Amino acid sequence: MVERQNGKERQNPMQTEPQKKNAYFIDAESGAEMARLIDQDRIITQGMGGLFSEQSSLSNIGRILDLGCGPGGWALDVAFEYPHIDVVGVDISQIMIDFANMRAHSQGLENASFSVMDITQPLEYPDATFDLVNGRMIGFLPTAVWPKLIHECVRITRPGGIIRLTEFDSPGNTNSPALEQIIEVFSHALKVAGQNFSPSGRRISIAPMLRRSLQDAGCIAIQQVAHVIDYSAGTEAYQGFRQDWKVAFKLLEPFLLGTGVITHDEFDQAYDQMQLEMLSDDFCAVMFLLTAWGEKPKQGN
Amino acid sequence: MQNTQTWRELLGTILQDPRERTRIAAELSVHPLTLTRWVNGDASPHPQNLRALIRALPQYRPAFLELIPQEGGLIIPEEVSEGGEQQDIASTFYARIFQAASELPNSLRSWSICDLVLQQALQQLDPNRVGMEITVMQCVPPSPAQQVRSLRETLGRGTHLWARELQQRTLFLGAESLAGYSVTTGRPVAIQTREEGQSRFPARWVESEESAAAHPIRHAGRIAGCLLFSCTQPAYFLPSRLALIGRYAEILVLAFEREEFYVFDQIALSIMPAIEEQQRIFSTFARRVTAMVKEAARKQHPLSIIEAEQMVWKQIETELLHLTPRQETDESR
Repeated sequence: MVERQNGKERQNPMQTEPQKKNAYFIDAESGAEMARLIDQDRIITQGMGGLFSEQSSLSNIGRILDLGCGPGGWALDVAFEYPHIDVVGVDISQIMIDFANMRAHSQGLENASFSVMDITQPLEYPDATFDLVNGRMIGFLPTAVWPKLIHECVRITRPGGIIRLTEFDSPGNTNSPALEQIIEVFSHALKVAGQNFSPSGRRISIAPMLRRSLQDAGCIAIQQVAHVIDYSAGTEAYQGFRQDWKVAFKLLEPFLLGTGVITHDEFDQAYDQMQLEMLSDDFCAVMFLLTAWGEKPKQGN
Repeated sequence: MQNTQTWRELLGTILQDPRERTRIAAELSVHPLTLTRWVNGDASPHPQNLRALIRALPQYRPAFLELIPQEGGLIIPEEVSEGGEQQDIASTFYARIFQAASELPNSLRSWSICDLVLQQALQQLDPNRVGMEITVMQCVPPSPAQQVRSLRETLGRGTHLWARELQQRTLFLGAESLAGYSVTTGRPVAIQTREEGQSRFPARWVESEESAAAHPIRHAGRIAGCLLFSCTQPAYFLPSRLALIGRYAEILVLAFEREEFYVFDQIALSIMPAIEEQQRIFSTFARRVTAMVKEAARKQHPLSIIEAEQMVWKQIETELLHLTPRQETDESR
């Protein structure tokens, strides 16, 4: 638990801010965030063993929706690898969507398209539009939104289609005290903002909710697969994650300060120390992700 | 697939998948039997159908471009053989770069702009992911009153064999390299075959590299470094692609500070050791940076990680310059 000062330097908590339009905790207009997300999509996909590493076949999949697609990294890779599949990505950020469409056009991927959509609201698609609805690392959404979102995912999936969710509970389990501290601060900040299922706020705790969320929405044949990405010093993932966290936590600074869980000086100290510790030859860290997927019943909901 | 002799045999293999057969026929607006006739040699596609066929199978584009000309009488439409990629950089991309340049803090600006440019250039120049690597080679800041002696790779991204998001390679290049030539002359240069490169430059080729290009990053008569390209395909850097590379190099100017550009008189690249020798010294990088930061803190003159990294890279360059240079090849100029 992060020690707190007496409030002398604490920012006003974001939880007092009424009705945030966008639950994302980083400025989506930031070029740094755009670059980071594109890189992160690739390193996460590679760390998970592929775009659909747990699926045995996509032969019955012709149309996919990607929720919270950002600049479109995952969706564009799917469109490239599976030219017979139409891939649609949605995100609340117009800037991200414009960028994703631009990238699709640059690559000549005519089977990829992107639209602005607020997934905390009813999804703007008719029933049974998609064969597979995917959501990866969208666990930052307000906790109250999740049941409604999953029900909507089921609605827009065709009978027999798949709803697939991938989440992580922590950016990492690590032997770096500073990285651990910043991770805990991040989790607490999400708790303050109402975007964390963890009772204590020490983790994000969306992963344990996935199976139940799918079940409550009427999905059947629910399965789960765990992934582990080792980004310790010397591993294949090390440099990518080191750069990712260096950028991500810097961009997260306004959000963390805004929730009041850390002061500016505390953050600066922890951030600098995190970089130093991640540079160490004996730095160790792993990231666990969980993919849960279920089918929409073929007869009735 | 590896034993395919003709483009018709390749197409025949692809069409064994009924879904692909149906999809390709639909995209070309032809009957599936027409495809069968092409495979059997009973008919040949018109140029427009040939263009559509190649576009319908982007992952087989390099193979078709190689195999189709082997059959006399078939003409690949020019825009297909030229590349077929989008030749313009979208205004949306320019807008993102300008915004990044104006709004990001110093600690994030250079990396963000370089990363966005490399990612976008890679997608636009290698949409079919045949295998390309793009690196930013930056002039290593000289000691006071000294000249720029080498270029250091600061960021790289690649597709296919050279997928780079997970790994970061560090490399110093000098006068022996294609990048060094581009920086020294201030001119873009392309090598279309491995043989051409070895006859024109003492270039250091990596495995699977068949063509390469370099374009200087220039501003107001000064140079910050260059963009370096490698490709698994020969003759890949056609005029249209080189023009596009030039536009990306212009955008990259925004990633550098004014003092990171040098006039030609300040640049006198040395010959750098082989990568194997460099890597032995690189292994000490992290320990040196950590030690430098801790020592500076102990002396109450704190250094940021970035400052410490720059100082250690400078130390490493000095050590590399004192190593025995690699033997120049007979073809060196």
